[in-house]
Amino acid sequence: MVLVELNTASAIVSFTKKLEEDSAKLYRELAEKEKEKEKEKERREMFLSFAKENRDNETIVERAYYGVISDQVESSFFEALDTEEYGIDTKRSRDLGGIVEIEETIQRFYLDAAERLRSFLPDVSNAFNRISKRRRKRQKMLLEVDG
Amino acid sequence: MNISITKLLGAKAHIEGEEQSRPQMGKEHKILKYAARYWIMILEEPLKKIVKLKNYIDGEWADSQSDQILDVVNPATCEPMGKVPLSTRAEVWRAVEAAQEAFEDWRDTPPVTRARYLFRLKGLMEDNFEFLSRVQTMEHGKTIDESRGETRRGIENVEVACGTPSLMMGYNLEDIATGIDEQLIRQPLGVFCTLPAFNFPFMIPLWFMPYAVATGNTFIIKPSPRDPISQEKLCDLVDRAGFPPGVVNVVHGGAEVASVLLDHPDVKGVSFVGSTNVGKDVYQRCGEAGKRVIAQCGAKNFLVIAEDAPLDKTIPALMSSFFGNTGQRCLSGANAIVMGKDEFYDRFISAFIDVASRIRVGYGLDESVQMGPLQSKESKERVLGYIEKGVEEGAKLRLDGRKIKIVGDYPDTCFLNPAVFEGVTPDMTIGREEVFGPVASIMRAGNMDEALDMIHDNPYGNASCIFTSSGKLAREFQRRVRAGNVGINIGIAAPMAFFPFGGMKDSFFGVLHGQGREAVRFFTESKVVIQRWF
Repeated sequence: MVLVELNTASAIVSFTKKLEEDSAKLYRELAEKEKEKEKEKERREMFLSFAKENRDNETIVERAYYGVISDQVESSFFEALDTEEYGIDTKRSRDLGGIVEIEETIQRFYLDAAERLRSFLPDVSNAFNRISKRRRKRQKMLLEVDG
Repeated sequence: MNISITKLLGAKAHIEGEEQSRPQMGKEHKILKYAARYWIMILEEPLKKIVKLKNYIDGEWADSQSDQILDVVNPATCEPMGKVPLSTRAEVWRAVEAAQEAFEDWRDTPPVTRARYLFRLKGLMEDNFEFLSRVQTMEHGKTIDESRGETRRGIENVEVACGTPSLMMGYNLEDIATGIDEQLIRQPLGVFCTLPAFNFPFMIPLWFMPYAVATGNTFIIKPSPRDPISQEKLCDLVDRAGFPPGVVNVVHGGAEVASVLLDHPDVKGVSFVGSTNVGKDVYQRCGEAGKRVIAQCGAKNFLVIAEDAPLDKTIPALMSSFFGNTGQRCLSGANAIVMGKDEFYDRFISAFIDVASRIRVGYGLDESVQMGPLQSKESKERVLGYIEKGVEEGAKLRLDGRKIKIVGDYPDTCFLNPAVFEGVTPDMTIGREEVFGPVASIMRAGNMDEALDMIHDNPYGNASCIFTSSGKLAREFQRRVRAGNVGINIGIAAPMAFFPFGGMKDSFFGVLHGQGREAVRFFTESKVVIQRWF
């Protein structure tokens, strides 16, 4: 089997975008599901706020990357990340436990990517660390809702 | 700045494994399935049709009357993507005339107003960032990260030039004698032109043009005919930014067009980036004609690796230095001088070859690709000649870049893989001359004195770098090495836009350099006024 590795900054940024878009879609769908249930209003709002935050995350990453990419930085020659490690299945994991797992996977990706890029694109690395903290906070919120 | 992910272009190699295991699946289906699973990103080509390049003279796009037309070819796919004219002498003269006519009004435009045109241009460049970057990948072959880096560096020069109202200020002193004051003012000279190289088709003209026009000069760009499309796209943005006609002009062509510009009496100065042989000629002709000149020329850059260098950080930096932009940059590493004991050398060479051998080579719009093709078939042939010379002269070819392995189903016409020579000496052709390709020559030195002797024996002095954990060693290197751009634990010592792009020995001819304050000085002359009022 051919495995694709994230071995360039561009690939990492695109993969990040994909993760954020996929999980935003999941939260929008979950919010839609809760629409009819008045008592789940709070949960619905939380899902919608997560989807909105995902868009912010994309912007943070894109701004960091496009702001510092230069002909000087070593943006293409670092130890690769394996996409296999960070795949998320948003179709299957619809219960809160599954969603927390997705968030953990995404957070792990951000932490690992931040580590890889630390020496070469520190601004992007910092942005990843910032988002990983958001994802950690999100996991706590999900677990609290789950009761 | 949106990164769109589209259908894969020629990514057959990616799916070879799947094809073999499940031959009954349709190829397209397999590609898409594979892409969906592993998020292979192959970015969309922004140019779908062949671009017929036009000159931009006096604010108008005009077809050249020349019957000499060259193809612009995408070096990864080998498909033609443009037709570029070699403009006539009359067209070049018309461009100079337009620039000369525009000069008086433009120099009367206040600097702060001139800067506002550049602010608008910067905004347009940001809006078109991704488009401009992908065009560079298509016409030059570099990876998308490299193209985006080039776009960013170009924009940074526009940003710095936006500060011209401050940068251009002179100075004064009241009472140089009783009742007498003296001041220095900087004034533009007139028409300037640039003759850039092919290796950074978008960025190089931007080392000069923004400063020239911000200081009140008018400008002519003669892009490299090998990859002129991104300059035309830039000029389109110049037009949209509303620059007055004649302030910025583009004339396409080759050496003959350059020659007409060099000899034109109304051209006050020239910036050139290219080979040392041509650069010397440009320098000499400008000197004879009394023109200002910046001639940034060839290079043979040495990178010293001390025994205390952290290899985990050093090797990726070296990969970028030697193989980034497929080795086609004047700041590329060429010779690595490894200092220290055999044990360190063995660890170094083994790590270097291991990482170099795993570099993914292919079309730069494939985001998994780390090194693109050479810019042309001729460039590749030139590099092949050097590899053969290296073997003939007794260097040990540890990684043979001639064994081509590329990602995707592309013709190998312009592709090479990274090559690594061991046992290279400074007198060998590959140790001495600029290869301008993905070839690393590994040398050894016993100590800093020996390493510096090797560096200084070479006629070039563009860049030199050291990798070390010792501040003392780094300081000694920085102080003693005769190179215009020095990197300490940096593999590509590319000065930011607010610093001059250095160069010494046969790598630079001139006095002032491109970028930043030096560019402002290059494009202005100092006038001293001494005044007394009765």
